[in-house]
Amino acid sequence: MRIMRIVNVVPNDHSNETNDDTEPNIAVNPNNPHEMVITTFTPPDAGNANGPVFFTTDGGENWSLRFDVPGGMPNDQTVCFASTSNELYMATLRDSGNQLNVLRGADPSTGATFPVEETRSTIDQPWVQAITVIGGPDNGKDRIYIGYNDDNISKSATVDVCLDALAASPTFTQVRLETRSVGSDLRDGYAIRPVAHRDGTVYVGYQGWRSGASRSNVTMDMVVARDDNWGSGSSPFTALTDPSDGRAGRIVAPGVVINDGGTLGGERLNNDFNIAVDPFNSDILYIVWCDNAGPNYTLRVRRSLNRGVDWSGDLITVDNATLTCLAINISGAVGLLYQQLASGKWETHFRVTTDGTTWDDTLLARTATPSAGFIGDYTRMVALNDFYGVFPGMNTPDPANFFPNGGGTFRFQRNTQGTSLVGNDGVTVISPSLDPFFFKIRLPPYSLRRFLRVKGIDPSKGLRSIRPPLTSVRAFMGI
Amino acid sequence: MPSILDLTRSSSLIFTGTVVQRGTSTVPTLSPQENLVVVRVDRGLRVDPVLGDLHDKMITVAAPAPESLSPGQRAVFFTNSWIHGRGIAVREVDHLDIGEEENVAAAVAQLPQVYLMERLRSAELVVDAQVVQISPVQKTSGERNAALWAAAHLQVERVLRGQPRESTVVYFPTAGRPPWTSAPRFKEQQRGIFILHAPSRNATLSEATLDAGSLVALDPADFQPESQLPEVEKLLAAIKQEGGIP
Repeated sequence: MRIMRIVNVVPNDHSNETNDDTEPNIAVNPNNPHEMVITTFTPPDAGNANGPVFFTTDGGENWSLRFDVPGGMPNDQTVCFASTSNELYMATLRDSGNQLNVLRGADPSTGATFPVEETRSTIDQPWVQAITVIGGPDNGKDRIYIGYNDDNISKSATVDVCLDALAASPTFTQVRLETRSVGSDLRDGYAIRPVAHRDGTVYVGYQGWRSGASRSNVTMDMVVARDDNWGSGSSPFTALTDPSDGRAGRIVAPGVVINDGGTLGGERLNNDFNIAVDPFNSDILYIVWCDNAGPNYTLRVRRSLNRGVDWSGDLITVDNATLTCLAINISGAVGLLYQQLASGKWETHFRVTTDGTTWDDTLLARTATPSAGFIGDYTRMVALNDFYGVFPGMNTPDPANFFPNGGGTFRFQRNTQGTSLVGNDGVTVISPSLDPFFFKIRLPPYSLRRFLRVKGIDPSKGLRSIRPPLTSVRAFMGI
Repeated sequence: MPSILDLTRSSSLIFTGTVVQRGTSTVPTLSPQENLVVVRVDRGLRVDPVLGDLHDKMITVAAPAPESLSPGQRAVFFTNSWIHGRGIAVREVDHLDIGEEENVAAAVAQLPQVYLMERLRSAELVVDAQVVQISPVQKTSGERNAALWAAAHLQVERVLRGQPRESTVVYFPTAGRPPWTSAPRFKEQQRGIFILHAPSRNATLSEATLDAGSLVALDPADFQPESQLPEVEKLLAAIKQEGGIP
């Protein structure tokens, strides 16, 4: 039986709030999936020098805000936990300008503001990926990869590699990914998405902008670069070349046109690009993007079964979709999240496939489009055994808006009365605004054996081989 | 010892309260620790509206010197938000004797004026003016979060600070997302006080693309309704007196 849950993460103490909390991102601690963090464009209270993150320690039922992000008002930000170290990593821009700060989170109970580990100036859309090395000479080290668009240069697709993020003074190596010409007055596409596998394979997807103009039609290549040893060599991310020109970076799709100035339901286009690798087999890689090849803005998913060398055609297409992302769970099920404009509302869909051909469809929510239009440039979904994600949605607490086709349950923490929001006093009606909605989806059956392998544990040695010893298999698996 | 005004400016949550217990916590995600003090709120002096009325609520205060707070003691607490959700926890900046309550309340009431004074002090040009035309700006940076500038052409009634002129142009962002979310948006016929600044050359590429000598309005306080004219004149006079205006 599938178990599905949605929780509006705005805490009860903030029942008066009317901010549009756009562009959500989520991190789930693989070592303790009850611990999660969500970021959005949520302001701090006036006068506070630190911006907030939402966090939960009970698997997503109760969320609080923690004001520990240096720099006040948020701009682009993404979060990721490493696999086994319990460390949270965060890449953030603040509202005062486009300076990238890479942060490492601490336990909320310590009371420490997140320390800054790296800074870079004039950066856009940093996307952090973290993983812990299991086995070998670097056992226990956290690797982090921050894909970003460096607005200082035209060949702007970049990834920063840190091979030991737990070190007292971590070293970050800046790797330029673009190996081809970028069009006049253009930069590479906004989204640079790294994904790391525990065997040392690291993929980075990016969009090489070849011609056109910003805020108009741009013609681009969808490119995937690969490194087979954590991005650690002298020529990192050059393991995958394209047969057309022999250059590093496999062109998955050439000449893709996206209307950079277009909108869909008020949401700006050209946000949608994501990749995911099978945690059990690094040969298997999925990619998703949305483009304007046809009359509609269309989502496309493709797959490689041989480490990015060869690629399928479209496995699925969806018209008028945006804010898409992918994740693959330990059973190899591929989850696809997107929001689709249908009859003037945003429909949030979770699709899943086990063979790449048949895609099950769950409608998580059907919510109004916000008056401001913008809902974010990205969202995120994470898969362990379960799928965890976050999406932006208008917060009218009408049961008809959540799981409209049934199958799941939802919860608001903030005060509600009937289909209205009410304030902290329990009486005053509060105007609807955009909130982050956490969701969790469990797809049985569970595979403990496969899960242990993904965690780097030999199942033949039994659960007693796990260090530290398990106190709860259910907590370990996040179920 | 920082002044009351300095403490007020550096604290996002200010309240008077009564110490209830030391070494414990009212927030489930925060384990009891020696430096934590539970305080019952008597009066909120600076409270973000999202939190509503905090009267009689228990707040967990992380105090740098918890030994200076005893159960039953009343004080004015200067704090910054730390955790909101199933209880509120704050980091204490300082606390003062309860006898300072009204002085602190007065300092809090002064905050908008103090902020407006800062904006006036750093302004290149302050004018009482009317928007006669809005025009789009074609030149833009290629960054994803470009400001997408528009130009508001102002007919100047009176120059309150800066070189005399009959008209000027102010650039404002039309993009709605950070870092431009809270900037003022102007409309034709809009009239009031415009507090105009030189663009920062290193904060964003959008500002760097503007020509030398351009003026921008990026802060919500950079436009004031005309009813604020007496207040603006008073503050400018005070700045002049302190030598802030040549």
